[in-house]
Amino acid sequence: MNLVYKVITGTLLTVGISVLSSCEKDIDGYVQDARVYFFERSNDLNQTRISNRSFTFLTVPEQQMKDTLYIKVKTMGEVSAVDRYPIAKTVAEGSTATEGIDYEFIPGLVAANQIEGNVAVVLHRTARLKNETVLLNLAIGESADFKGGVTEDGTFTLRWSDRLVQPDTWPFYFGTYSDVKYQFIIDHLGIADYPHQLSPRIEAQPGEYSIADLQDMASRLRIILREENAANEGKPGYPLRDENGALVVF
Amino acid sequence: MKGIIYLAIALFFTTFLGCKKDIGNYEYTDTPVVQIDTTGLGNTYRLLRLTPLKIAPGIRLPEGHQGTYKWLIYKKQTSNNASTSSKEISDKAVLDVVIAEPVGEYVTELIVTDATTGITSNVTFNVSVTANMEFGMMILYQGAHGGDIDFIRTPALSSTISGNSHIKNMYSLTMGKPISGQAKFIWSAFQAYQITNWITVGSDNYIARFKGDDFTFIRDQEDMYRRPETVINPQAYVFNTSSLHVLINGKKLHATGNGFYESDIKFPGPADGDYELAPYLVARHASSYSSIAYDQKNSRFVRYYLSTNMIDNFAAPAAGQAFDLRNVGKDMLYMTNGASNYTYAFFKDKTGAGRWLYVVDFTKTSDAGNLAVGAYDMTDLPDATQAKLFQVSGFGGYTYYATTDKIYNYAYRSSNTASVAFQMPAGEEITCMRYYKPVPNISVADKEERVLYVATWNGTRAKVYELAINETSGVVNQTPLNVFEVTGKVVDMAARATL
Repeated sequence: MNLVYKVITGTLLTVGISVLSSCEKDIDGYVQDARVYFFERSNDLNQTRISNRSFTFLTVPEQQMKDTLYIKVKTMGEVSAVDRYPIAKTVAEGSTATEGIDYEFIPGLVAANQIEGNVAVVLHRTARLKNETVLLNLAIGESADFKGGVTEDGTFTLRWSDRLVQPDTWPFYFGTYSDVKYQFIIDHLGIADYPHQLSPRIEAQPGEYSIADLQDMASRLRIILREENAANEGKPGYPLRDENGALVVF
Repeated sequence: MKGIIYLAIALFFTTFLGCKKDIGNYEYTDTPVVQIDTTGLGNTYRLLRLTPLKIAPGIRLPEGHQGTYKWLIYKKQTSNNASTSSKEISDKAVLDVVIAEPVGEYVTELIVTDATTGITSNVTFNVSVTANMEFGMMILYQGAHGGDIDFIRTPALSSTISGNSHIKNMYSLTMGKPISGQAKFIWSAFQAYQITNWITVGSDNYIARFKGDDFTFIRDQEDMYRRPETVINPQAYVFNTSSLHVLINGKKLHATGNGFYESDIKFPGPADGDYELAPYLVARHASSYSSIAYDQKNSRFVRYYLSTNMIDNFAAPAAGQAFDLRNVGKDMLYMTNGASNYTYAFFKDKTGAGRWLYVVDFTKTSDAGNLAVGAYDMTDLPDATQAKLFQVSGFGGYTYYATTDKIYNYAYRSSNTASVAFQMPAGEEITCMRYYKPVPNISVADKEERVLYVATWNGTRAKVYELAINETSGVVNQTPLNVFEVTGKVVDMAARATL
């Protein structure tokens, strides 16, 4: 009886384990929420993080009262087969611009099957920009498609104005700075900022300038100024002088 | 109780029955496969870039079967990085194609598919592509469909070259099409221990830069200029001893600044000034001049200021100078460097038949109005008015000038006379004439100016004659060292040299 009992028990245990082993529940894979983070990077070998940007309405036609700035973002999580729309939000701390008056957010875009896109900020050309530079700290807002992503790339700073302020990137090759000279450059080249090419080992991106590029700009400005002075000879204000009365030269 | 035991036993066997290995119940038959015989072929092929790779393996298909063939080439893997894409280079059983891949190590693979059974067989070979472009002569010509480039190497150009080689169609094999427009110039720029090692090619609507080592493409067209709106009309180019890349584009001077990286060596806007340049430049002069050129519009030599990107006059002539650089009053026919690194300029009078050779010493670092060396009247030389091509010796007091079919040796320094140095075969018109003048010449100083290349055109085909010459007297050996056939009218030739 004891032997029979052992055989029955052993057999049932074996069968039971075999049958139950097929009932093991599959473990679900990890699913990342769709998130985005700011992904502005320098054009250098290390792709250094950029966390702020300046803008001036000086290069925008006078009648244009708004302009949209796009800030690059990168996604986390699965790629989507449809377009998705990230949006930015205000970080009140440190911001001097007022939402609804100085700026507004509109949805950006991460196109279908892409992992990079942008968020959009519409900047308003308000009267006070003639006298001051406003600042906006922004972060990734929550939308139907995205939440905020990597903390280190979670905030971005924008500054904008509508007045002549010597840019940090003023080139040596343009000579002494003056507001008149700066306006002359903007009027003729349409360029208000002159960031240097960070690594000449990498082809400059649009908006980056090598020393030779800046020398070429100065050469072009020298000719334009000479022609403008000649065309306006004898007229008030010519030859062109700056706000301090000095001749403008390149 | 027995029922329970039987049930348990039945369950046990049933459970494990599914684990029983299926030993199958098949019939096995032999399917004939393609056999690729590589006996005697070797496993590694070494060849020059832009030359044919020929491999003819023995292929045995099953009787009555047809095969299809595919030759692939891809980079040889040297790490665990992602594999590079392959490229199909032939669909023939025997491989015979020109390899245009950059210098490097490759694998070429033959895949034979039995069209009847769908079964494939394959075999691989290592391919080592080199260039051997250290020394040679680049030939730029205008063919029926556009411009192209050949590369010639002979023992006359370097003691390291043991036999002749002639690589054809380098440009079209690299770029997939010929050079657009009318071909104008080719130049090898090499700077020891610096990044500069490029070949620059130009036509009247095109300019491009290639790597000097293997003629792989770097950049072209608007990527060569800082101002994208520049109308591309290259006419002459030189890499000068001030390490500036100087281009005449639309009769204006464009000179690059010194740069540390290739991507920043681009032509800026035109030099400021009222001028229209003759399409000739020289490489050797004092660095204080940055570049010199000849303003055809105002009949004067001009100098270039790099810091302000402008051209200007030279100083007024001191007393006793042979001529005034600011007012030559003649039209330039050609300009080049020669003996003592002087600049030699050939002119014709604006009216009449006058022909002149003006010599200027632009090696003087400061301009005190004393740069003119001499003015030689060529008017009475034989066929002087028919002269259309010129070369000036760096070793002796002679120059060559070529008419349609004759090359004259002009002893300007001693007797101011000229005599026929070489007569081209009947029916052949001279289209280009160049010394072998390598820069740098360190490794080939014994070959410099020992050969003269003369290109001819007979209406349907071109030839390039390699003529041995005496470097001090200019006497030409009447038996060419070599004659190469080229498939278009030659417009320029330039030495290619390295250290």
